[in-house]
Amino acid sequence: MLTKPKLSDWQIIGFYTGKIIVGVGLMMIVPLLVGMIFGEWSAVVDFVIGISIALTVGNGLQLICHKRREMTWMHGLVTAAASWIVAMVVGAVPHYLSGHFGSFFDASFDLMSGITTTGLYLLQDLDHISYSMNMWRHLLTYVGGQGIVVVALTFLIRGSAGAFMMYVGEGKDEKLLPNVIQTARAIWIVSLTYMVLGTILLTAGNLYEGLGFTRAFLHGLWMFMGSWSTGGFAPQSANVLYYHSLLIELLTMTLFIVGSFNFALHWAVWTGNRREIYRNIEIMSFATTLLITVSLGTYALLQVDAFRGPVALFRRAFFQIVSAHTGTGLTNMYPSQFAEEWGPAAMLAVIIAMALGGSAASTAGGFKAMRVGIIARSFAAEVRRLMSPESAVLIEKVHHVKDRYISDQQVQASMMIVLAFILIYLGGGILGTLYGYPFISALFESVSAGATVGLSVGVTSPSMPFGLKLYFMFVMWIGRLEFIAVFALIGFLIRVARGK
Amino acid sequence: MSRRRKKLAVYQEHAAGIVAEVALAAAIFVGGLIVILVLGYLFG
Repeated sequence: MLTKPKLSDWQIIGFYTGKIIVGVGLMMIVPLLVGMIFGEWSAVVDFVIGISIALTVGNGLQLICHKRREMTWMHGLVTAAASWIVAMVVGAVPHYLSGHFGSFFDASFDLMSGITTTGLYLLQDLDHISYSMNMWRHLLTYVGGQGIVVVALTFLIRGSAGAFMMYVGEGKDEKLLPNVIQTARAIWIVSLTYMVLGTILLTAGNLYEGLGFTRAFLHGLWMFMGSWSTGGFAPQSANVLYYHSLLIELLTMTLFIVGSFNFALHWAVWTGNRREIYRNIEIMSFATTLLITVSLGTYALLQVDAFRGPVALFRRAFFQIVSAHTGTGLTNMYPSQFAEEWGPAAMLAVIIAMALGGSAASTAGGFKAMRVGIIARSFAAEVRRLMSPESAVLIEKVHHVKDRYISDQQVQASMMIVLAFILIYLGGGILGTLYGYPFISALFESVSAGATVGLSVGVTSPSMPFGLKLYFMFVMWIGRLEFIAVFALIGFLIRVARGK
Repeated sequence: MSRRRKKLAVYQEHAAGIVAEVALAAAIFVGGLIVILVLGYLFG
């Protein structure tokens, strides 16, 4: 029998959700300061309103829901899932007030796309938005990459017993250090170090390409945020193509490849275990599937003669496929080129790369290299089992920071998540086709949203049907949180509606 | 070991980690370029 949630359940969820809303409000101080520095007073007012709403709602929730009780798994998962929705609504206020969106719903779409590090957008006239709005967009994607719960754990929630449950709910199930708060801080040490280095290098690259210092720095910072978080946002509508620069392409590619690595791998390599880099199952899996998808894409492009010469192929095909595979979505092509020049076979290679995704416990989405590796190993083990004597006992293991034996339960869990991803990918493909888009284009966009990539063939636009916008928002959210937390939230809502 | 030296050793370890990760990204570029060159030679 289903039981209705008690008042104390609501209070725990409300209290921690309130903390996360306060976190979103405090984040808005950064674009507010940018607006003040550059004299963008209209944007400053938008952010003051946004901060006021976030702090009022967040602190109000904490005040109403304050109660000392231990958090359970259900509370942690529901809080993680719910806080992303609430963060989306609160964070969309400055977006909507900027006047660059057709509706509050469109502004919420961009918020969800930003915090889930997807990179699809409905914003109108991107090339003429304020510096502060550009800062807000990129900050969202940078923070979303680490996880908004990770931010809250680092700065707002200290030593809570329920911290790990919220952390897992956000799709990160690995502790780098014994304590989850220390883990959250380690994630920030890695991300902030790369932010300093990446911004310096990209600023230098932009200066070399002829941008003035202020724009070179801001574009450097934003391109870092879009690359490292595998977010795919860029300050100009032409994305990376705006720079027409091999140097910028190489720098961003390096950042999004490294950004797609598991934070546990980063921490192992950063603390002296450098052999891990070529023993790790995720790196081996990623390298293998990247090799396959790049080969497929290159072969398909050679057949349609889309690009002449290896440099053009490297700059276009390799960049796009790596961007797809790491879940980034940065592009140095126009969206229409996929359908007009690449053709279905090369598009399929990009779709497969997007579907596979980067590493677990990273900023990337998709199936994840760990699951692909575990499933591939279990297939190989099955073949070996068939060829071995009946009495033979075969034990399969993978290496990820340490040797781990693969259990049937892990294989089953990996297959379940992969199957769930396939279903949401296909669902979008079918829905898009019903709305009149060609199936390959609809599938491309659906996989891009579900795997939180952000590459587009042009389907995502302000004129896209409402149903498709809603579906893409849902799959960005569920794909980023990897289903479990969202299922917990749905279960909680069912208990609210039907429980006794 | 003094506290300062310990901190320095940690920073050095982190820097070596960054170099190793960037080297891996560079190896992926080179691998990609080789694949493109080989396929271009065979099917181009």
